Amino acid sequence: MLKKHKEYRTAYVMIAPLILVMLLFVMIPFVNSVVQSFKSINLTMPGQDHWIGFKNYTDIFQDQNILNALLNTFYYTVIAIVFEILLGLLIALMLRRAFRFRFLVLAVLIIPWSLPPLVGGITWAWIFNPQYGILNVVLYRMGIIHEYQLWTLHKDVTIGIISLVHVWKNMPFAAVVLLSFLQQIPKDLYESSSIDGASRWQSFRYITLPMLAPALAIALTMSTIAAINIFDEVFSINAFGLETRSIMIENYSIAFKDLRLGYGMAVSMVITLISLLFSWSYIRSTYRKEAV
Amino acid sequence: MLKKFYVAALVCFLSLSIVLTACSSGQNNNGAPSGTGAAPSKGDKPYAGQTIKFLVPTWFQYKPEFFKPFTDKTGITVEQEIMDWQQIHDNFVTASAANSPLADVIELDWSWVGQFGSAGWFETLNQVIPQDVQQDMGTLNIFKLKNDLVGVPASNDFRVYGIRKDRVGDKPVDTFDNLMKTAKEMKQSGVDEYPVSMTLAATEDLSTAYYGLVTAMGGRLFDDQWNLSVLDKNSPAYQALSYLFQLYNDGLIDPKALGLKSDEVGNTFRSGKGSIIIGYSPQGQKDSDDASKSKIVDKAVPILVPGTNGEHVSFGLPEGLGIPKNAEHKEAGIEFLKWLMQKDTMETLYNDYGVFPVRNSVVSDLFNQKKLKYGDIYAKQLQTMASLFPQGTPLWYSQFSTSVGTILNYGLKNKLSVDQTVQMLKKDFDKIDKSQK
Repeated sequence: MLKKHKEYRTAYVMIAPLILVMLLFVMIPFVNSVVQSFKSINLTMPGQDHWIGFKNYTDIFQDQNILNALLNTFYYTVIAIVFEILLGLLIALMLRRAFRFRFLVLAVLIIPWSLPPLVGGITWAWIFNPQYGILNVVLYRMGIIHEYQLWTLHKDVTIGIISLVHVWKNMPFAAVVLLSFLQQIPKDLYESSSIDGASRWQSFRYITLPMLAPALAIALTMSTIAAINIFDEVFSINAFGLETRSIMIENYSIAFKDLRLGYGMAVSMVITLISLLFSWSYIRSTYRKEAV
Repeated sequence: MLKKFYVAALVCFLSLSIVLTACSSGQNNNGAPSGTGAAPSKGDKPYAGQTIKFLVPTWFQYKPEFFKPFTDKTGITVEQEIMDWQQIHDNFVTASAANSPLADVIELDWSWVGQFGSAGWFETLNQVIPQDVQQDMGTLNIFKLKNDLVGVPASNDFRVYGIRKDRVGDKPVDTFDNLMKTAKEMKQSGVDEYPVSMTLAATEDLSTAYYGLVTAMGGRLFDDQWNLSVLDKNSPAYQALSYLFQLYNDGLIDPKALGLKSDEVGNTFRSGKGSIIIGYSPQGQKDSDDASKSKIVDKAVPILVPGTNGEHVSFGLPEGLGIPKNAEHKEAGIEFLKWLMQKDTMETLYNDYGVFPVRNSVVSDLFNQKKLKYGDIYAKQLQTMASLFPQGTPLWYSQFSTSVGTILNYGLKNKLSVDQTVQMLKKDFDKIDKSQK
């Protein structure tokens, strides 16, 4: 036992800085946030913080703005998951085989993902700008529209635009993760299935998909968390507009515009819990299938 | 094995040192930021060599040569940073909560005085701004919180309306009924498809445009017990909301205004679209007459806010400047503020940038020297200025105002009725903790 402890000593020392950094900058602030979420904290009333128990949490579920924001976030999440995974898988399948300039296509694919979210959001906001956006200019000159449009006039269209920007940014990550797992699938599995008379769809369904399960779990988890935390795209396209507000925009408004920090922390905890639940369910589902 | 352990320990120590150094905020023991600039030099330029950061919104963007006289006089360099008005608020909140200096002299809007003042984020200036200057400023009290002067007015912003005299001509726009009638005639005759220019974006600009309509119609936002006036259908606040909805629903305002902030609406007006602009200002008029910014030079004129019973009531939206408590160069920042308050500086600001002077003596001088174009209109309008909050600006004003802007925008976009929009306002207003004092 002692010998094993001595063997692991080096390993413990190596990971000690990481543990310390995680403690100082993640765990302690997290625990502090949890504690503060049970208080009434308003920056306009310094020194008057006081304990209010679960009131912040009960207020969340009676706050119509938060419930609307959660619903909008649900729409963003569903759209993001569907399109990011489907498009990501499609692109990964196309890029699996070698072809000329494949490396260039991969590099271009990654560009949206590498941009800061706000940069992408502002770029698209300019494209859709009602006064000088290029979309209006092109459609007007083609005669498709007869006057410049305010693309964010209707809620459904605005949510579509925001989702488009979000998928444009995050789909490359899903594609890259899926591609990396696709490339590890042994070719002889496909050869064997072909000899046994399996169709391309059957090969995809019974070989490719099961082998991609861990990658799908990762891609789904990241897509879901990114969509739940959507902020920059919403802010760039429609700022604090009520009809498209995401839960993160609402949280930002509560904490940094209204200066209600305690309530804002409670909302943050709820968002964290939702993200964790989704992640846990994906991973559990994936590893349960593997165990079977 | 032992050697491996020591190597590992050394690597850990070094990496931890790097991380802790990188995260250091450079603060000394009493919490004040280190590196507060060059040591004060002797003589009449005690802060020479220092550089102050001046953070203001887009309408206070001055050319570098504007600051030269100040730099020559004091040796202090001014580094101007421009940021969207709303972003200044949000950035300042996060910076102040983290006690991280954002700027040395920063925009302080009248609507932020309660919120930021009560949070204790600004230096008090009662003793540093000369008394004669303080007494010369009519809007100074707006920047006081319980007698502490937390900022000084920088721009005597107040609202007028603007018209394209080449399109409106002699048609009456002196009352709201006449304005509506004139706008409809212009639309029907094909003179202007969307004659009325006004921001309808979900921002503070829409809130203040609405407040302007309320005060112009002789009303208030709240009664003395802080009850929402708009709940009463007979109130000017309700009538103002109905009027706004009618302007939009009758097609007199371009639907694109739902996505345009006030400065974007101003740019659109100056590009030649729209004939009657709501939420105009002396600075807007200056820009309209600037050939580098406008295609309607000498075609737009300011007019008094339409009114009832011969009264034309407007309200002030003074913007100010303050010194954050965590500023790195407070004394140099104060010198800059004092220089901005000087009469000749204010005259330059008006002549070159259209910033309406905040000192009454400067306004009088410019008027007497006939340098105040449309001075007769402005002088008349300044005589009928209502206070938005006679009881004092509440600390929760910012939260309320954000609600108003977003709900009005939502109501217009989704074609809600006035009553439905009022109910949404009431719901949001009831959630506000009004015990903040």
